[in-house]
Amino acid sequence: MQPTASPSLPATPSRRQMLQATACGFGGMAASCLLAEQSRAAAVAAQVRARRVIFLFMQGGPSHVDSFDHKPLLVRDDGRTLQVEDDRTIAQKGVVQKTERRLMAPRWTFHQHGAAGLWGSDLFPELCGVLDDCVVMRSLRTEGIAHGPATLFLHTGSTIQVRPSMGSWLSYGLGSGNANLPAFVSISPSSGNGGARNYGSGFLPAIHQGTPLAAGKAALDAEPVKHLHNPLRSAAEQERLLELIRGAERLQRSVRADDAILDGEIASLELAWRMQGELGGVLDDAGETEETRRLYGIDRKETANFGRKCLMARRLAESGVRFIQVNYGDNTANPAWDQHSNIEKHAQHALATDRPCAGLIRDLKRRGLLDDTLVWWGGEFGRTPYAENNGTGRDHNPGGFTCLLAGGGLRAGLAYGATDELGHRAVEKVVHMHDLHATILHLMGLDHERLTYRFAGRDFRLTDVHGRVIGDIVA
Amino acid sequence: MIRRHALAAIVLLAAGLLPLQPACADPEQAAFFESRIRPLLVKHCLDCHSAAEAEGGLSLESRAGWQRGGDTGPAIALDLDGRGRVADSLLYKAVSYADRRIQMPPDGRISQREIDDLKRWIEAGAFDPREESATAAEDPASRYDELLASHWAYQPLAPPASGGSIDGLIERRLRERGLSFAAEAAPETLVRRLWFDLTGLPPTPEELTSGARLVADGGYEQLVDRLLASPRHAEHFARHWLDVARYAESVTLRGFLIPQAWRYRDYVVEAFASDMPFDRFVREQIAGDLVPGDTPAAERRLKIASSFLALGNHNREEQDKKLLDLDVVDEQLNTIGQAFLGQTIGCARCHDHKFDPLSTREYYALAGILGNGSLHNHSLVSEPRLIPLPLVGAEVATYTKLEAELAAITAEVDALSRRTKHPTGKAASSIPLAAVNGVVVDDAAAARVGEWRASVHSSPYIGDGYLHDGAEQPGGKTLTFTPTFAKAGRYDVYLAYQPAAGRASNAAVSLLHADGEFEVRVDQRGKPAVAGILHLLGTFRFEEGDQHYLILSNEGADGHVIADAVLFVEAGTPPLRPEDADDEEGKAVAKQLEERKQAQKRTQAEFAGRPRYPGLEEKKSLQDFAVHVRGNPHVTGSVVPRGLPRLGTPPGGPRPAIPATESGRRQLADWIASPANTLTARVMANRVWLWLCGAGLVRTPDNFGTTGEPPTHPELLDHLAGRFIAEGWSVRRLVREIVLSRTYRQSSRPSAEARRIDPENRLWSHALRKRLAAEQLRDAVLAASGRLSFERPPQPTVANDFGYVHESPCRSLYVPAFRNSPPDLFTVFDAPDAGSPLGQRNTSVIPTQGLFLLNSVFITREAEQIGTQAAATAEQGLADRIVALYRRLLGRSPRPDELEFARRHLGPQDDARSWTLLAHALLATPDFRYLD
Repeated sequence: MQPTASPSLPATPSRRQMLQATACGFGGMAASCLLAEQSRAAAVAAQVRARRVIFLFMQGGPSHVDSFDHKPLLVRDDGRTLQVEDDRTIAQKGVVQKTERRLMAPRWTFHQHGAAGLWGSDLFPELCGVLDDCVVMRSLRTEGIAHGPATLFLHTGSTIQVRPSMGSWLSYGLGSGNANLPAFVSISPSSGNGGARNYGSGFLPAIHQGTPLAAGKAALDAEPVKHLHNPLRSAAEQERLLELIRGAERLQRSVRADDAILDGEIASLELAWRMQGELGGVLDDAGETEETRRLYGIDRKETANFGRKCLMARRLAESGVRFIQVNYGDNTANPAWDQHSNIEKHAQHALATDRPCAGLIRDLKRRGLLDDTLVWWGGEFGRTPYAENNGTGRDHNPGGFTCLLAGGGLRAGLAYGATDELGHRAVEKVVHMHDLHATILHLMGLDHERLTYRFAGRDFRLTDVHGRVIGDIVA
Repeated sequence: MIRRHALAAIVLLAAGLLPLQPACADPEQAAFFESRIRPLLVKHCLDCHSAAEAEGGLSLESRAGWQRGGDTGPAIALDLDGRGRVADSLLYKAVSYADRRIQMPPDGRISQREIDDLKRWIEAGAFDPREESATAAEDPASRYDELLASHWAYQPLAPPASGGSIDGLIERRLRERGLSFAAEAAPETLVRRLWFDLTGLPPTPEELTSGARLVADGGYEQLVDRLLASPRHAEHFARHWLDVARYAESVTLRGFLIPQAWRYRDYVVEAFASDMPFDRFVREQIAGDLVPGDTPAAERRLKIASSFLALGNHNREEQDKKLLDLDVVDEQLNTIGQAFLGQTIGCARCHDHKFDPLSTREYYALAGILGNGSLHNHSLVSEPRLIPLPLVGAEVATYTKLEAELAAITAEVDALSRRTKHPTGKAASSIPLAAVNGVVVDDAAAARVGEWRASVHSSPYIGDGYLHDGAEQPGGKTLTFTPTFAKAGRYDVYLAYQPAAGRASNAAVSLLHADGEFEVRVDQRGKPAVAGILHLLGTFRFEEGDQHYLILSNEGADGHVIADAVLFVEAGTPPLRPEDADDEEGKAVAKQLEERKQAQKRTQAEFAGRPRYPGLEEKKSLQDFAVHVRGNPHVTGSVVPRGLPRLGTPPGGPRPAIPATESGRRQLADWIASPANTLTARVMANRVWLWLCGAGLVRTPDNFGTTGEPPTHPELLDHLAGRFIAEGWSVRRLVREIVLSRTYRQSSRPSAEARRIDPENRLWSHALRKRLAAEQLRDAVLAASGRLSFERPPQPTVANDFGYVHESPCRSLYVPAFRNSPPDLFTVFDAPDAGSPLGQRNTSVIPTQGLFLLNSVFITREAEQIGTQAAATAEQGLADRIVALYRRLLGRSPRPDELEFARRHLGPQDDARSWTLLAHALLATPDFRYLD
């Protein structure tokens, strides 16, 4: 493993050794670990443009035709019926056939924004204000018509098998930037639609697993990490306990010469103890100014919740965490953005997230962090330009949708690719989710074809046997 | 010109050489190819479709390449006269983007001009001067014969060497490297090791003392036999096997349960308790359901065994049900392959196995066998099949009676329902919203698309009248009723409408509920059963705060579509309040109906407990599978007869034929369980060695293929496998032989020499120190506090496994095996996720483990329990009490410095607090979770 020192907290040699011991396990694991190191070293080949990723996951599938994919024809032809190849129908029937659907115009008005004149709708006024810092990826495609498979695919590159999540691959490839913190953190992950597998390490060593913060119903300020504090004991008693453990361990250690296993265990417990202190400090945002809080919308009821999570993401980024995911969703089968009826409800979700997301990008920029931080905003798929039978909502659309990318060595102020004239299918410069994964790894300085892990007799990759780097969006 | 080509083609055909490019190229065609076609192919196609890459098996780098074609056949179709058939040419189909299944290039359509060029080129016969280079892509299958003949795991077992023994074979290799056995471990160390290795539990302090005395007096063998006979041994080995069987009681996506899967768990415990011969254990798990049992109890056991095939982590939501079926078969093959044969069969689903001798055809021959059983009842969200088990003992009477009762009650309910009248009588035309017993969305509250007209013509109606579509613009009008639920649960959904002859007989209703979408056509000419206006659509589950709606549409309607209201009434309760009934008889009937419905519900709930098992139902008409190109269920190639693969059977060895009347699952089981199979006995012998010694002789226990590790001691592996078969596949005898060996009984301290020469201890110069598995760790903590229970807790009655809170102090084996919500201790200490068979657990060392040990409520509470008990023994001397605590937690007495350390900590106060902290500290130290 190659622990990369964070700017603020260089890893000391002892920490490095300790990480080595903890990441690689021991005994029989040593050989495979060595192998892993080699493949990782081989993977770190490209130029490093981004040092960390913040993924703002809009769970449920926000509508691209109502937000960042402007289709004048869709406005003009509102209500027109036409024959379309609907993904859900095709998946259900197993054959490609057309069904009749009715077009539904976007419910929000589009304008051009900023120096680059990129299109965005009134649904996201704040994000529209930072489009000059973004690449609008308008030709995405993915796998999975239902939330479960598509969400797993977004995170792991596979719709069903247990595979490592993208953050785990980055942790495996690059290590943590801070010896006292995990490399991969997911804030408020949903327990539905794949749940823990969306931040799981699959077959990679468990140290690469994402650490969930504020999982389930836990509020951010209650207990964001499990077992970070002992609810039944005073701090003084825990200090006493730690001293006792240290004493007992020292005596157990004294009768064993040269025991790497024991050393690894002891070091790991010490890291746990330090993490308890450090993570508490990172999560405590009391020192942030009122102005910063306002920037994230923490001063307003509607945006306070998601705003705090976005602020937390920045603080974790500053502390050396490699992959920080901030989730806007829930545990239901039809998560937040899933407006099968009443697309107007998008406004409620936009209200909760727009300012915090834009605030995060602005804050990163003014602190000089946006240069080497990649921000990714998007859902597991988009929505159809035609309405459901109810005439008020839109169905899932894995065949064409949009995400935003900002910072991290990108050609900002660019719109890449296009869907057809109605916004249904990606047709121009199509970017498959595998390609997006490959590109993100590339920006982080990793070659997606060489970042491999040997498991069950073969080498696995995040991108399986697919994926290509979209060089056109890289600065 | 074309004539001439045709003639040439015929001549060549006669010579058996068709279709080659005519030697005499038309200069015009050559020019067209060079100027238009070659650049186009280079630009758009060859990145992926060259001889070196050949995605989908297709190379467009030469004429021979596209003639041979890829997985889906030749890329360009030519007539005998050499003319191209554009419409039949896959290349043209792909670039024209006419078929969604093949669109090339994948990143966007090429220009219309380029498409026209290709069309013209194909029409004219696809002139192509490019010849295939000599280094055409190598076929992996060409190496299969060689692999079958050379790879160690496909060779028959070596005949038993005379005088061969575990210790002899281990010592020979040690000597070769100048090493020797370590000394035998101390008696107490051996006792603790045996207890954990054979029963998964720590010895009590008394067992530790008496066991150590027995060992010191030469009674080691006696101790082993006592532990092997213990029910705890069967439970512990069952847990080992459940890892291999990827056992779980729920699936990841949406946390659906696999009902009654626990019966399989108990079956495995019984199998180990009775030392069932392993070959029978194999047969029962793969095909037990196809074998008749001598008694109902035997038949039942056989059927439950086959739940092995039903435990996969399937995506029941997959909308492509063909794909789901194929994924199920693939998962079963993978599991069978890894669990019994140590083979990665799944690799051959999309292409011939790149490393092991298993072709895609052999894969689909196997897939055909399992594909004749179906695991799910398909619907939007597919349901696992729950098949009734033969009843035994008192169950027969219980369930026969219940079934009869249920039938009688159902008949009563039906009769009463027909007698219920509209409770408001004829007088009132409007039923107030308040009279509805649940959530009501009136027509006035529905979101309208298109023009809907209000009416009060027919009565009664709910609220102020109803709406109709005027029988206009079919397909143009919808109403969306969006309910708000204060409470999640199951609701009866009623559509209220006023029937008449001119109504639509096919009003389209679609309902989004918590489990999916329900679509139905309602005949609005017929009179609804309840109150003349309430039509029951069904009972559905809804979630609080979730998105639910019902859409009524006039799409395709053949008459007026009427909408009065939609009612969501808690399941089983009457939709309208009985207070509104105006006649005594109606009230009485309604009351009686309500009472009977409750009885029906109770009986149904009781009947739901009828023993069933999740398993496969063999299809009525048996089929072979076609090769699925690249694993895609919708693109099929040639059909492959069901059959068994070549690997695992030595040349001339038996491979049972599959009769046309059977799926072949029985034959598959027999083939695996055969002593002639070169893999089965070796794989299991290696697993048992691993379970006891901490690492296998083959250190990749689930992969005996060419990418796995070869055995460190091939003779020993064959010795064990051979003995295993010879001793009637008795797992217990195999275990006994291993734990009685000197190799097993060694100390876990390596000599300096051993550490230098063999740091991974592949030569077994000492015992491996093992970390307790998550289940053992939890059981050990509960055993130390005295709270561990061996009772099976009641099966949880939850709809899904999300957020399940584990509170029972039951043995870990009996903790519900929920994929989404294992106990925290399991998550941090590497318990398997049951995604695929797992022969060897990870032993990660991560800080979340430290956090758990320091701060979890579980450890803190149990430490308190232990501390309080220790503090209460004040009549004994302090030193004795410290010794007792160490023996209870660590299975050994404290060394003098440890005794002093504890004494200093406890000090004069000697209170429960101090004892608790000491106990907690010891639970958190490595010596508690490591086994010397």
